[in-house]
Amino acid sequence: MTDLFTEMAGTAFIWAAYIGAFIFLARKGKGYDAASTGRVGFVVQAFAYVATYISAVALVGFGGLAHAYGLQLLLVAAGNVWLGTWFVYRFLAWPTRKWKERLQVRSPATLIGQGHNSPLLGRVLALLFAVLLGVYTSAVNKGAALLLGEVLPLPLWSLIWLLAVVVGFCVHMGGLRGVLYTEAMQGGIMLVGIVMIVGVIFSKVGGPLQGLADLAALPPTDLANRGFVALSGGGQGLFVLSLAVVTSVAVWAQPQMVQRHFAVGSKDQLRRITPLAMLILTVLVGGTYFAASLSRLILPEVSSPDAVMPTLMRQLLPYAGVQVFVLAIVSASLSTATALYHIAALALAEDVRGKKSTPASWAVGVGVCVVISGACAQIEGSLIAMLCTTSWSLVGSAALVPYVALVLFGRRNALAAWCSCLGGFSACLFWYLCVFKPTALTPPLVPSLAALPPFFTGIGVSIAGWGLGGLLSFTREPAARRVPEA
Amino acid sequence: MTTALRSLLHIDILVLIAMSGLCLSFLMSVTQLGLSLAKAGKRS
Repeated sequence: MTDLFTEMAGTAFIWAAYIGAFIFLARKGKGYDAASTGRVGFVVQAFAYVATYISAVALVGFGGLAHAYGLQLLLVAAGNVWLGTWFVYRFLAWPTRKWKERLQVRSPATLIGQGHNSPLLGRVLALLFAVLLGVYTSAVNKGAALLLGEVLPLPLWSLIWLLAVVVGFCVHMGGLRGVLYTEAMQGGIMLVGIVMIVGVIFSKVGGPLQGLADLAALPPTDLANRGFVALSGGGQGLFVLSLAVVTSVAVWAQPQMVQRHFAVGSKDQLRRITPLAMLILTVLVGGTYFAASLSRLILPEVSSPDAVMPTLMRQLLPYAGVQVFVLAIVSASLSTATALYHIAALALAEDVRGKKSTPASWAVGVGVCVVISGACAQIEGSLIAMLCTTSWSLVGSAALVPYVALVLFGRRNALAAWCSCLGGFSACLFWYLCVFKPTALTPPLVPSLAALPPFFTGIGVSIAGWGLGGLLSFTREPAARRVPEA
Repeated sequence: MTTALRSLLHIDILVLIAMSGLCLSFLMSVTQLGLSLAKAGKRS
């Protein structure tokens, strides 16, 4: 009885301290407006970038996939580190910061719109971000609430609303600066939780090298059809490779990631952010996928991939360890949620309206996000599930080409940007609805291409759209300009 | 050392490249951060 009381008191203390720290750090943004960051140190920026990038899906969902597919999931981790972080900081972050300053913009949507001399494009993108990312927050919120339900004995609906309100409150109070600080704290907790479970798994399998040898000796399965230390053949291998590309390249133009570059203070600071972000990401995703692959040696079969990490947590960790690990996974969800709330609220509060937000419009924007996120998470609708599954690729297909053309190549062309954006978005949506087997509403129109991820089609059409738009504007106005990099 | 090599020999080349990429990222990051902190320490 005393033990139970101590455990409950301990749980209540840990979560009260967590929420207290969350609110305390959000207060760092007081006195700054919703889209300003002020000076932010390199450690905070590096942790914030990784925490925004890595959601619970990456740790729990892909961790489960690593258990099923084996070490080939390390291709996803390596892609995230080199393409999703090193490339981004080497080639995109500083130009984005300079363009932001030059165009005097406050959000990624207006950066692309003003950058291509088309404010309307900025508004359309803002609306797209608000709808897709606003609904996507419901999935992130629900995931966090489900995990929280493992340690807090409250009904799911109440946990969903609790999280939606706490996140909304912090985003409203802290703005972008507060969001960066809370994400940094959550990134730190994620690192502690993951290092802990990776260490326990390594010790259980007799160390990484012994684990590798034992894993190599396991017989192949349907998913890992060439064994657990090789890339699978056929559709399974293609799935892993496409996962690596989609999670590492579509991230370049996700507005919540682009916005992180607005806080970069100097090139010197960038030289410190890059290695630290790579180091954290290497430990987080590399460690998780490596350890989750090895966990097959101690946990041969599980009901579903999503159950792998929670089962490992319950089997291997003591009570305090379970609390820390749940904190880490909830942090992964909440850090992504705060970033998404901020982008969606800013889009509603100022980008769509076409003028700078006021305290009232900011409050309304955040309030709408809280309601959308909380309400959609309660609904078991297939449309919402569909939007959550597809939003990452749809946003990437619409925004990546115009964004990269602007910041990496200094190209400014309104017609090309429109063709690229609309073409990429429509092609990706069409592929999801009519061709891609897991999401198609009818039997796939082109069965031979039913496994091709929609992001590839979206990007292909988006590049073609850019080319077509460029050609059309060249014939109409030969002075389609190439503006030197800012 | 022999056990380590034997373990690595079992691994498919693509997966080995991914593992090397992660190791390289780890070492590069630690080195760069170390140098950067040392530089900052000298300046102060």
